[in-house]
Amino acid sequence: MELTINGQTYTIADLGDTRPLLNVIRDELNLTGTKIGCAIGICGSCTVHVDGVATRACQTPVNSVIGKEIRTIEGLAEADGSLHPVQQAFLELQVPQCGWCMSGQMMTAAALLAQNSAPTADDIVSAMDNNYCRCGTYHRIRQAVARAAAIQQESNA
Amino acid sequence: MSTTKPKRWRISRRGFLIGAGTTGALLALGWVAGLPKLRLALSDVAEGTEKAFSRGAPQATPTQWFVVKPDNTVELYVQKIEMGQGIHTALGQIAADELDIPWENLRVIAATTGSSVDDPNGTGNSESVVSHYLPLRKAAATLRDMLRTDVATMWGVATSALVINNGVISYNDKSITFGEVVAQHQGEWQVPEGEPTLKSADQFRYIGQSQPRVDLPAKIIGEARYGHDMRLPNMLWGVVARPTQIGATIASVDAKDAASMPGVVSVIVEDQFVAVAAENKSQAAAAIGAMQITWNTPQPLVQQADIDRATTVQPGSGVVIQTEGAVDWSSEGVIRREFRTPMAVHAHLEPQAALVDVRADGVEAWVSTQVPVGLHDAIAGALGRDKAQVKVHPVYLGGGFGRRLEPTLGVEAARLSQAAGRPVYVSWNRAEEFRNGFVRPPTHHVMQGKVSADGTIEEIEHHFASGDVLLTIFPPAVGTLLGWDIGAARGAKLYYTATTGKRTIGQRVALPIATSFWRGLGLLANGFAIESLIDDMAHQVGIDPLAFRLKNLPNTRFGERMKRTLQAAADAAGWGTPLPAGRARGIACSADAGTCVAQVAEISIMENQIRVHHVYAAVDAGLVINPTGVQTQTEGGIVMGIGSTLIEQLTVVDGAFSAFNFDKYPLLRNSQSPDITVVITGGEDDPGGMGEPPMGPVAGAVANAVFALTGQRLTSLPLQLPA
Repeated sequence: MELTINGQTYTIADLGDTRPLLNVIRDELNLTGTKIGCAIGICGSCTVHVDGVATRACQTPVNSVIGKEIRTIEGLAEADGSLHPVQQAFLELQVPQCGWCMSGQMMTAAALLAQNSAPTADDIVSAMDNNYCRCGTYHRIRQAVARAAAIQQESNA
Repeated sequence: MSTTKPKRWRISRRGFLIGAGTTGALLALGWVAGLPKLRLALSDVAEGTEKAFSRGAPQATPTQWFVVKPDNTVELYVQKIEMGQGIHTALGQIAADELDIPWENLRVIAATTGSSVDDPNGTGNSESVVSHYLPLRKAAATLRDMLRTDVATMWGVATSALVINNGVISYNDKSITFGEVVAQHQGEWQVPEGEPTLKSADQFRYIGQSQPRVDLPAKIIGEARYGHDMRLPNMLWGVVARPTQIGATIASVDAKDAASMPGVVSVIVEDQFVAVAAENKSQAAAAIGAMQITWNTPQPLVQQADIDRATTVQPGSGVVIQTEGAVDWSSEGVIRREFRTPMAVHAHLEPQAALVDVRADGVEAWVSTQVPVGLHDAIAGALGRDKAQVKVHPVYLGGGFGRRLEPTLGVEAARLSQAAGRPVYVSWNRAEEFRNGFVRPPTHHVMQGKVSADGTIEEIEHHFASGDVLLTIFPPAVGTLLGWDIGAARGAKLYYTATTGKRTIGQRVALPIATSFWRGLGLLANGFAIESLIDDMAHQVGIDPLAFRLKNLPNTRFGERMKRTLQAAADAAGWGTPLPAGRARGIACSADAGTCVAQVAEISIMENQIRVHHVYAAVDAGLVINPTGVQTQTEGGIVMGIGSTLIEQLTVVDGAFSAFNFDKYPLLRNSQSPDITVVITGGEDDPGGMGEPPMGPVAGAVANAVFALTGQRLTSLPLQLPA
């Protein structure tokens, strides 16, 4: 079976099963930027994009994403290394503490901005509300997503 | 992660060490930092009883190293674990400042154990900056002086004539970089005699500045490697059989054909350790699943009522840990309240993991741990290997919160790797984290107070009962001798003045559940109880809760700091100004690790649920190394504290925990998390701790706001309004 992740094709074993995409990404392909937290779809640490939609990799059977475009944190920045507006904003506001949840937070935020370039405060909270952060960076996350939207608008202007 | 460091050293002067074989190639200077006072105090106690306690013994292995390289970079090797608190950045700032080098020339490197840096204290207790601030500056200043002396000799000029600025030493129009000095140096390095001269505060360049965190660029792009991310070619995946019931032990094992199942390389069935290493995780799990394991579960099954009953203050029992004057609770007008806090889990989002490679020529381990040296010793002991053969490589932690202060997991992976002859990786899943670790102990507090009509506290007493926290890591004799748990007592003592008397009593509680460290130890629970009673007393005599606190704090240096901190939080919150209908404010304060914290919580109640809208915090942490770091630690402590204040509660049902994932034990969400304003005050004192102190006032501030809004005094966490 072949998976397309960050524009690259990976061949994985076809075990005829529905093993979670997360396990394939982390344990078979060693793309460890995507994190595991609860494995039951609550914490959001494993959030990736599937065809641009923020998706819980721990709840996604790998055979359901064959032929789709998967994007992980390793593919969020441009190929030349320039950071995505969400990454720029999270860095600028020094959002991460331990950083474990942050791949999921940033992938969720990037999916939001792709869909809604000018989110309101309520839009931001509602989009980010299913991503846990145990270090308690929530209020900085809200500020950073708003800042990322501004950065994105500036660069599109 | 590069860990090239000098392998041998000689002591050149008390506390300082120079790397051997560094003549000309590079300059390595190490030093031994002091042990935290708490550990020393416990060490004194322990040594009176038995010698089993060795972790606190003074040791001559350096806790830090500087390496100056010919390319003009300076490496700072530290073993303080980066778990989100920004310690690598803070220590780097202190070092770069006193060394006087460009920020970008500094590399902070997590030091492997057993090579040349060993910090026996681990990372916790909010003590990393506190314990390293002065020793690190002195070491940096010594290094700077060595370089300057070398140049003075080389150029034949007086040392005092040389100017050091930004990593360059100059004399008139001549200049040389630190790296060039090292490259040109001949012969042995000499450590200068006498105390080095430290910079004055007005010369600081990095201390007090919000330098960006050194670990964030890698974390932003998903390249930072945590314990759970570690992989080696040829590694196996380990799974360990663990009980689902509290206190259960293995009665019997029939391994069936586990050893011959697909992918299985090694099966261990030893007393209380049943584990499999296989080519992938599902194969290992399948093999464990195929075994027939019978568990002995303690009878009768533990119930929540048993825990609540045990965790109850018994009048006349416990140890008096603070007493002034006399208290008499038989008189009129005494306020008496009881408070309870429940068990809680750490819920670090990165499950623990360990990758250990046991080879004939040595052992290497990559483990999510706060105590690399403790783990290093534990692995060597479990394998019967010489300590010098074991290396524990520190990794980033996806949250620590006290959970990663014990070494079990790394030892499990080591035993599996030894059996399999290949590297073995063991990770816990969320259910294991809930069921098989340790939890924050439940507490019960009886607070009593008496206040005069003019608002003066006459008498006050805090009697608390708690499961063990700190004593769990010491030999039983220490607990027996002390009779109370210093960890459970964090924040328990009363710092308000009392004209007639005050008393604090700590009572140990034996529980059938493993309890231990949780961020702040007893601080959250004790702060909740004390600050709620103080609020009660203020309301009893009709005095504003802020004014009441200001009136009853002592006129000492500490009291003045706390009053200033309270006032700063109140000013930020607009204390006393009108709020929209349906909102109210509560105030609370606490002191911990040399840091004063005050918080004002602004709340409302919607559909009988408490909603915290904004927390205004003021912090006097003494000299602040990184203001953004102080702010983010304050924000994090507040949010974690609000989780405990409003939501978190672990209970027991029929011998098992009530939750083993976030479906039954939710954490605070973004939408439930307040906006936060942090004001930094003070700054005259040496640095205080920041990792835990902000936990102290949170629950009290919210509960006091609930009282202000509803007139109801809620006395149990999580706070729940009557239906």
